[in-house]
Amino acid sequence: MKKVIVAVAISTLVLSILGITMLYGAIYFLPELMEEYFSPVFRPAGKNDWLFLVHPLILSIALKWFWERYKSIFSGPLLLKAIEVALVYGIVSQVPVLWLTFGAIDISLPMIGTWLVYGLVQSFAAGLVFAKLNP
Amino acid sequence: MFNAPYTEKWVIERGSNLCIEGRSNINSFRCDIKEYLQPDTIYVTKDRQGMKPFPVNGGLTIDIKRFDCHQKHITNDLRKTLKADEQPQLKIRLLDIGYYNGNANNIRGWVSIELAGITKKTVVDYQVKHDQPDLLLLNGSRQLKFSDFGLQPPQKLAGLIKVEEELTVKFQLVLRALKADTNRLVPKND
Repeated sequence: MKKVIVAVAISTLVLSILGITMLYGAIYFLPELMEEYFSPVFRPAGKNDWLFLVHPLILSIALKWFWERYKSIFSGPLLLKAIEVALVYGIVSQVPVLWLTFGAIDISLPMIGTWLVYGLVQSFAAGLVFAKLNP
Repeated sequence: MFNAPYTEKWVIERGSNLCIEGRSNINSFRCDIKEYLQPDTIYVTKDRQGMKPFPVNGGLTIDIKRFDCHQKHITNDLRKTLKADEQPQLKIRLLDIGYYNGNANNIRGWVSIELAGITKKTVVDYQVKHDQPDLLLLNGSRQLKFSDFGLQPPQKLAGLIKVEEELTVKFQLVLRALKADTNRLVPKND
C-alpha cells in the first residue's frame, strides 16, 4: 500500500508540474488560442477551483489502477511501456471524451487538440513513473 | 461686472472616443467605444481672475455593451465582469479641470466615475488642445483597478489564466462650442 501511495504521490507531483508547464508554454507559444479560456464555457475561478486542481491526482489514481491491472501486457523497455500507456489512455479514454466535448460544447478544434496533447504527455509521464517504481 | 464668472457650453462630438486598456497573463487588450453618440453638453465655468481650476458640469454616459475589445471572449467576459446586465452604463462626470489658456499639457482635473453601481472621485491628467475658438480637444487618462469598483478581474482555470487588476481608461473628448453664455452663475454639480 505504501508503494502505491508513494507512486501516486510522485505521479501527482510530476503531472502537476507538467500540466502547469504545458499551460504556460501554450500561453507563450499560442496566445491567441489560449484567449479562448476567457470564453463563458469555462468556469470563472472561485469555490470550484479545487475540482480543476485535483485533476493530476485523479488522473494518477486512475492510471495507477490501470497500470496495476494491465502491466503484465506491456513488455519492452521503460520508454516503450510509457508510450503504450499514453497511446492506450489517449485512444481509449481521451479521443471519445474529447469527441463528445467538441460535439456538445462551443470549443475550437485546436483547443481540443491541446487537451489531447496534454493528456498524452501526462499519461506518458505517469507511465514512466509507474513502470519505474512498480514494474 | 467685467470680471464675473461666465460659462462656456460645449457639446461632445461624435469623433470622441473612450478606451480601456488592460493586460491578462496571455495578452494585452484594448476595449474601444468608437462612436460616442449621445449629445451630452459640458459646461465650463471660467473666471477671468486668477489661474484657478475651471469648474465643469456634465460628462459622458457610455453603454458598457458597446465596448469592443477586438477579442470575442475578452469582450464578453469583460462585459460580464463590469456587470453590464445589471449596471449597463459607465458614467464619467467632469468636476473640474486645471487652468488652461490655449494648448496645454499635464493639466489635472477631477472626475467622478460611476461603474457597476459604485462612484469614485479621482484625478485625471489631461492634454488640452484649443487651437480653434469653437473646438476643444480633451485627452485624458487614468489608471484604475477593478477593486476600486468592487469588481474582480476575470480569472479562469483556478486563476492560472487571469486579467490583471490595473486598467487604464483613456478618453478623447472632441468638444464643439455651442455659444458663449457670459455672466451666468456657476452651474451646480449634482
